[in-house]
Amino acid sequence: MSISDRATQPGSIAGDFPPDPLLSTGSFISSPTTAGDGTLGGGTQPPIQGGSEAIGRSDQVNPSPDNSESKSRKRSAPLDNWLPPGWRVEDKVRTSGATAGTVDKYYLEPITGRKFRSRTEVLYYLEHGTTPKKGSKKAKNTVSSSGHLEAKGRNKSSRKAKEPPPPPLPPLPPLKFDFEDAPEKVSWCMENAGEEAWTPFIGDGRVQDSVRRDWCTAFTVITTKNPSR
Amino acid sequence: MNPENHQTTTTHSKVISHVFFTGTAKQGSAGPPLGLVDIGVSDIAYIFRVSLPGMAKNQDKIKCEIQREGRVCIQGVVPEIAIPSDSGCLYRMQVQQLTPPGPFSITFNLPGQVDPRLFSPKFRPDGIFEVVVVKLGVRIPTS
Repeated sequence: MSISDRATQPGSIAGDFPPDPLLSTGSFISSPTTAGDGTLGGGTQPPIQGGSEAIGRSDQVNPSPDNSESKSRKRSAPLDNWLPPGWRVEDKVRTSGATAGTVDKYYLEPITGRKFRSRTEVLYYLEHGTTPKKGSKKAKNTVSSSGHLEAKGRNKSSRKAKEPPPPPLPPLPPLKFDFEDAPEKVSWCMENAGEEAWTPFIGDGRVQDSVRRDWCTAFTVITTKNPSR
Repeated sequence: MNPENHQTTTTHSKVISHVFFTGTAKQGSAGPPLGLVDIGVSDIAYIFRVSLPGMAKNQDKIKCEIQREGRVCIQGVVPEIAIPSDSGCLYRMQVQQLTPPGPFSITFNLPGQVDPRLFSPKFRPDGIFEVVVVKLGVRIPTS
């Protein structure tokens, strides 16, 4: 909105905004409206076309009313309109160190609460469902992860209890469950006492209750979140 | 198929074969009453049901071993006759169609690989053991 205001009333810039350190007073960046009139419009298109085009562009900046609503509710800067609905923006001020006072902006994923530090990271996550792996260059990540999974399924028996736990590839911070690291075998024993209760064992070792609860949570999440049953 | 099954039933009972079935008991496939298995599949998981009549969940320890390759092994012990024989008299069984007391195991394979951790067993009071186990490689959908 502020952009289109600036475009239609260039004279009001000096009054409404603090002077830009990079732009000397009097100069201004040409707006989409003038660009459309000058380059595209010139004779072939009537000036009305240029005007509607400018409206179209300002619509792109504000993609949907939903976004602007959530934006104003979460008090984020107006330029976060590209964020999908539900995402939140958090500004954190560094409280110590040499850079104390610097404001860090984080984008919060609505379901998992995962934090992203830049628009680039968010867009990558939205596109690929994962974050770029450290060390490897972007884009290859998804391929390598699925390849890793297949390899794991194949050489089943060679991997026993002592395999180094690989880093969790699909990042799920609230759920402590490594989908890649399925054990070879689990024995479930029904307890004798009271209510029906099953205790898992790996080898001869009883699986800790906390771990078992994570398994249980993962089971619930998987069976409820996958709509195609 | 039906006549064959009937034959096996009658050969099981050693002396008297006058045992008849009506309703669903007649329609059901006759076989060992313990260890009948159903296996079902969905997009993300398998379910299997195993008949374990005579097993009670609070008295008999049941163990179910599940492998990533999809192999399932159920182990347990069929209990003795529950009516107390304080007179100490022993019965010689004349018809034996139920599974005799003692340890047993039932082993079968699921149609594919599973994650042995994502295992949800339920021992129903009617002696049917139901388990849902998630397929290997299923993820929580991200988008």
